[in-house]
Amino acid sequence: MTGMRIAIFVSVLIFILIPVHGQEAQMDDKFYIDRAKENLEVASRWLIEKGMKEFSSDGVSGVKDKVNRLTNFGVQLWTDSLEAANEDADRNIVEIRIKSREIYYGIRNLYREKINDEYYEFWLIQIYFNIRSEAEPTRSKFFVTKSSAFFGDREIIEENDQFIDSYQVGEVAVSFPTDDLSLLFWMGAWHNPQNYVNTDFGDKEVGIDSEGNYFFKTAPKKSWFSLPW
Amino acid sequence: MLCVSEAMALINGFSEFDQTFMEMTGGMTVLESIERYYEATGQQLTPEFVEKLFSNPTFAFIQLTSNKLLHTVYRGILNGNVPSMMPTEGKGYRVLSAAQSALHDPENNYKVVFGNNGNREAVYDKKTGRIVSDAQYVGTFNFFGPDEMFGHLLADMLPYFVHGN
Repeated sequence: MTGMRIAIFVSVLIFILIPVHGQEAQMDDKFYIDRAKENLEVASRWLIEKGMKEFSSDGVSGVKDKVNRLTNFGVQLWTDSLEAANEDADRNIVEIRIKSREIYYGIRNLYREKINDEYYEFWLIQIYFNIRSEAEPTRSKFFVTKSSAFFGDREIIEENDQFIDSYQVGEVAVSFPTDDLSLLFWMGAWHNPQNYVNTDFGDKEVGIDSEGNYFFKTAPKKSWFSLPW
Repeated sequence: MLCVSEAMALINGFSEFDQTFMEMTGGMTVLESIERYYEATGQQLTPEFVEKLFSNPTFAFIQLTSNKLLHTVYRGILNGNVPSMMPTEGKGYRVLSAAQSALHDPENNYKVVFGNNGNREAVYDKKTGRIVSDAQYVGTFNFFGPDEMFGHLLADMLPYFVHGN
């Protein structure tokens, strides 16, 4: 009997509150969503340019503190992924996850090469808008950076909304290894092929089997709301 | 006579709820959560309001269903400080059963809750071990842990029926 009463009470409350939700959804909070987007842009650039140096001197708490100050507590680092930064790796080197207002940024240092004592790195930001706050398609941004030390400052020397497959350093071309399936898997190009218009990556989905082997799959219909990170 | 946790809270300058809140959120203070929510929405919460959200399931249900931003944005703010990779050792986490993970694609993902009460939640891809951010399956904060059936139902399940996922 008590259970029945609770069920009726809850049903009535839901019935009453659904119209309230409708009104709530109409509230114009575009200002705050736009500010979240601006904050995420500021934080992501700072993390690429200064994040590793800050991490080496003051740890994750120092990075969080700086991001809080830059964005007035508008952006959160929400996982411990920075701690897994691999100084010895030349690919899948570090990823940093930040979020604000249900908008998620996955920032990845995918690949690097050393030329003339300078590191040239290919960074990817996957921007993922949660359907609950604002329905926008996922998208990616690409950066090439230059640095003299892994835990040093980085200079962004090229950025684009389209995939950057190489960067010219004098007479040497630094090329992104497009035949590395693990990199293609984490890039997830098939989720947002609009950022890969000059390549055929948008048509190629890469999968991973239970033993950790990567393989090409048939590209599925584009999904806005599915990313591997 | 003060209990140990109250004494610790007084020594450290935090209330007992502040201490509990920090444990539940993995280190965030009540005031930080309020600051973040204000920055993200322009809505002002009070520490008393926050404490009531965690202690009164009916109050939490009414607030979370009548204010979508509280349900989505504040819940999102609270759900941080989780490992980026599936934990395999140590304490402080629990892998939920497939039945308890029914809404998170248990065939391909593990659902894990963190903290003493399982308030923080994350979903991990079974093949890669990496955290999932997919809107359909992403972990969401629980004001009441999975073992507190009544509170969990009212505050952490029914609001999704009202607002959608």
